[in-house]
Amino acid sequence: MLPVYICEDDEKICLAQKEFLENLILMEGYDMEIVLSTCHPYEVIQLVSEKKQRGIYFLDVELKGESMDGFALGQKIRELDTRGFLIYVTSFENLAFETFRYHLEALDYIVKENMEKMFDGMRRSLLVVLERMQKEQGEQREFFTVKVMDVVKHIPVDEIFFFETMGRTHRIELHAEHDRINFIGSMQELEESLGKRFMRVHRAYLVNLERILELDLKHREILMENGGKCFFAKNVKRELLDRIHFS
Amino acid sequence: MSNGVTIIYNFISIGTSHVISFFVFYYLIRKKPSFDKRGVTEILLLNLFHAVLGAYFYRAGFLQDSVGRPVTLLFIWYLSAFGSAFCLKRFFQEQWSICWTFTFFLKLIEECAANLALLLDINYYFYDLSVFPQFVRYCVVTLLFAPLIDLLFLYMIKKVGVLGIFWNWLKQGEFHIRTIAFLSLFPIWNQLMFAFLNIRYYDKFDEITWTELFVLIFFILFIHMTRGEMQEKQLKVQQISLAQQKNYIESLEGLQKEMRMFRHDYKNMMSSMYLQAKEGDYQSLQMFIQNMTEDFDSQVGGQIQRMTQLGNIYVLELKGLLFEKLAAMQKEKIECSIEAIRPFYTTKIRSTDLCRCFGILIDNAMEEVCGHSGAKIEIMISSQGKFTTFRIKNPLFSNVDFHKIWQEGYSTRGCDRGIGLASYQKILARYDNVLPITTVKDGYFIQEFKVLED
Repeated sequence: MLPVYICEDDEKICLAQKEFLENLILMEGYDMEIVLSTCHPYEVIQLVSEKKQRGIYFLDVELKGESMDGFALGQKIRELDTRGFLIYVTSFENLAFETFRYHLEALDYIVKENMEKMFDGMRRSLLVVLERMQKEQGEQREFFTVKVMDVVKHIPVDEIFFFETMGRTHRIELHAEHDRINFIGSMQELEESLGKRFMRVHRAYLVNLERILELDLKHREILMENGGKCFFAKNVKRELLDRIHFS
Repeated sequence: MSNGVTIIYNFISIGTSHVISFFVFYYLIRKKPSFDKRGVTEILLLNLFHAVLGAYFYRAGFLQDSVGRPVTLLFIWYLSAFGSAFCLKRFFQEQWSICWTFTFFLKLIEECAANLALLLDINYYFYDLSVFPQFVRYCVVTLLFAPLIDLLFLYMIKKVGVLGIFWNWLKQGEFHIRTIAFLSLFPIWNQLMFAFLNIRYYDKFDEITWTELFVLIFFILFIHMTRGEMQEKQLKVQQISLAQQKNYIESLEGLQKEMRMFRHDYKNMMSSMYLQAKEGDYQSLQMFIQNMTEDFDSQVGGQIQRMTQLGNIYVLELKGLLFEKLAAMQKEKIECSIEAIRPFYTTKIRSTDLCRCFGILIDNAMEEVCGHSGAKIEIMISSQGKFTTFRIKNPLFSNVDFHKIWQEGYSTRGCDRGIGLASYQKILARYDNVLPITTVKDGYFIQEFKVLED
């Protein structure tokens, strides 16, 4: 059963949200339960750290008179519940969904203009949560996870073409179908963690063997499926040819 | 003086020069040098080579020869300059041009200081290095007084502000080839002038006087050149801030106008609400209030939101850029949202570079969505203590070749447009603490760069 938390500084709205969600959960027979509705963010944090369970959170962005706002609360929740569903309820002028999605992977954003619309938004959010959970069950794809300063990026391994060192110390560039990411890391560690599909063909390149289009043996160049080019070292030619044939 | 002593003397002398240039560079760049064993060994070996070579030349009597002397001096001089520049390059990983020009600038001052130290010692012309007390005296003057005077000069140059001007000029990366050439050829000029004058007015001028004169000429030229540049820059900054204020006032006026209109409607609404309440028609009253809040948000809410977020941006240059681009987007009828939920005071990238990069990304986004109604550009500036993220998101309408957009000259919209991303990359490559990320996701094109702020 998914625990549902509500943190809203206006008591009346808080109560209304709680009643609405209780009814909705009962009527639709969702496998959820409201475990807390409060105006104090630290109560939420305490319960989340006790429960240690994935939850659904409806949070107000402005929490008047409290030591933290909804964003800071979201950050704390994320530390405790990395896979929970954060839904923000806020007034129009504090709208900043992109930021919330970027840093907190917030699921949805509901503007509190009037009660009806707010309820509509909450109903829709729960549907998105269910849909998301269903999708996750079918997900078989393997992801490469990389931390870039304060965010974590997940890239499907089969979309990666190659990694390239950037000349400067420890800086690596990832070339993928839909991403190009600079990050700090070590080629050796990447090589070890990515396994057999990838091969270190050069001091500066780690290549996905399954995404090679063709080899230019004369110039020792590898043409990738996206048109990108890498070089390979003389002494890996044999192994490279072998491994391409095998895969 | 034995060979060994000469080598040790040379080694210390070269080393001091490198150490001074290293620390001045470190002070200016405010970046941690990356030491590694190999680099240190390389530089020590280079110095040793230099010291041995110098000792050999000295022994071989090249310095007594009228042609050999200038050639040897030049050779040694450039070798030492190369050593210094190499040291900076190796430990700070900056561009060669920066290291090289910087080294020459310092060498110039060092030369000046060394000459002054010798001049201060009355009998400088008569050192007989084979006599021990004289040798000691020579060592004290060149190895102790000269670097001290050098440091004093540097301190003075810093106090006067020339060092700052020079550094800014250097970091801009747009060098004037002439200045570099003039600076790099300084020892050659010096020797030529000396030789020329020696022939014409025998013994009236010497190397030392000439060096001082040359340095003076260089400084006057340099200050003259940079002052013009600085004035131009100041003027530009003023213009920007003026334009920004204009934009700000305009958007406030727009807001005020809409508020007035809304207030006008609001009076009518109030009276009809009053009637509905009086008649006890609560359902209509509820509907009415709902519509009213919605109207308010759609009319003024967006603008208030934007102003609230923009109010969190305290870097004036960036704020100016955003106002400018917002005005341009309004003209093109492009929707745009700005998010800055935390106050953004400062960042480790220079604000001119920040504005250029952000400007390029915004221009690209505008280019992509232009002409598509309902398309929205979403800008985010997120200052989170240790990290700052700058991010721009726009819907994609054309099919971008993800691999090709980075190449110079590539653009989805014909020629002449594709310089943007190439120079964006070039600018960011100068920074060690900035990581760019590009993503295509769910039909959106997302560009971001993250800055490490500690």
